[in-house]
Amino acid sequence: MDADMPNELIELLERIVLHNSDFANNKNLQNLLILTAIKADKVRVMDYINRLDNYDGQELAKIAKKDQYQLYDEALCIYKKFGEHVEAVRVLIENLKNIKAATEYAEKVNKPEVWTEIGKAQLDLFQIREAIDAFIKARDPSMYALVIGTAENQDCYEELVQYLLMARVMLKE
Amino acid sequence: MIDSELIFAYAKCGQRYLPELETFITEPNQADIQKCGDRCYDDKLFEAAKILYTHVGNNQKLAQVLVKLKLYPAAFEAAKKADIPKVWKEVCFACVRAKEFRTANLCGLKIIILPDHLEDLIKHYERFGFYDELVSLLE
Repeated sequence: MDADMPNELIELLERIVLHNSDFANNKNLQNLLILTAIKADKVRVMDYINRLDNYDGQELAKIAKKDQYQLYDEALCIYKKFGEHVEAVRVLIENLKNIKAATEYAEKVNKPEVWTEIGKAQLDLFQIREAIDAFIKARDPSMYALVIGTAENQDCYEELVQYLLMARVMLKE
Repeated sequence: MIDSELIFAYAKCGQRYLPELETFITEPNQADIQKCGDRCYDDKLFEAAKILYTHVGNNQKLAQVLVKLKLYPAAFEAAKKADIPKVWKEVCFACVRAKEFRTANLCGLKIIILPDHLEDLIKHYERFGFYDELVSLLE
């Protein structure tokens, strides 16, 4: 990297990591290959993410989604691969601005903490029905003050009833 | 907070949810029912307010609600339980406006024995031109 020869480095690492050498499974080398590609040859990143297994997903995803690289699809892919569902859904919401895909993702993994992210995102968008639906699936009453205010502003009392029934059960426990 | 909000939300959902509201308040809860009643009253949710005031036994407010619901004989009964001049007058005057003279009379009889309030009563009948009814009450 210091010699500013990333393409040569990538080529070398590919030979070691992708071509069944004794070091193919070396974590540091896999990390280095993906990191170098993020910085110097973006189009290769997705391929590496899919083919390799022994790399530091959390760290690399964090780098990939930085403003300077904007590799959001790649970050999403890493999070999915490593089962980091909350992080994955956050990328969909915050970076890819795709609440529809985020909701579909939440439906697929069906985890409370993922539904909470959907609820917060929908609340930010003042989509109170969708927000309440998500918070009920999350069984998460923590945002109740904001939910109540927003629902009352939008006259969504039937939805609010369902939300509050969930909230009082959860807050009692 | 949650329970009070739930009561108000039930009230806002209209007629269909009133049975659920009624069931809810009979079960253990942490709502301030009196305050919920006031909030419903201010929001003109009189059916719900009626249930809530009945539950806490606030006959003064209940009488006012029943007047709003045009349930004059029931309002008289609530006024009787409250037995406060202000309430007698409110129910009486509302009945006069609605030409419910039978109930107005019953309330009026409670007022004419109170010199402080008699004048108000007379003025109210006169304002609507119900002189005959006033005379028969005073007799």
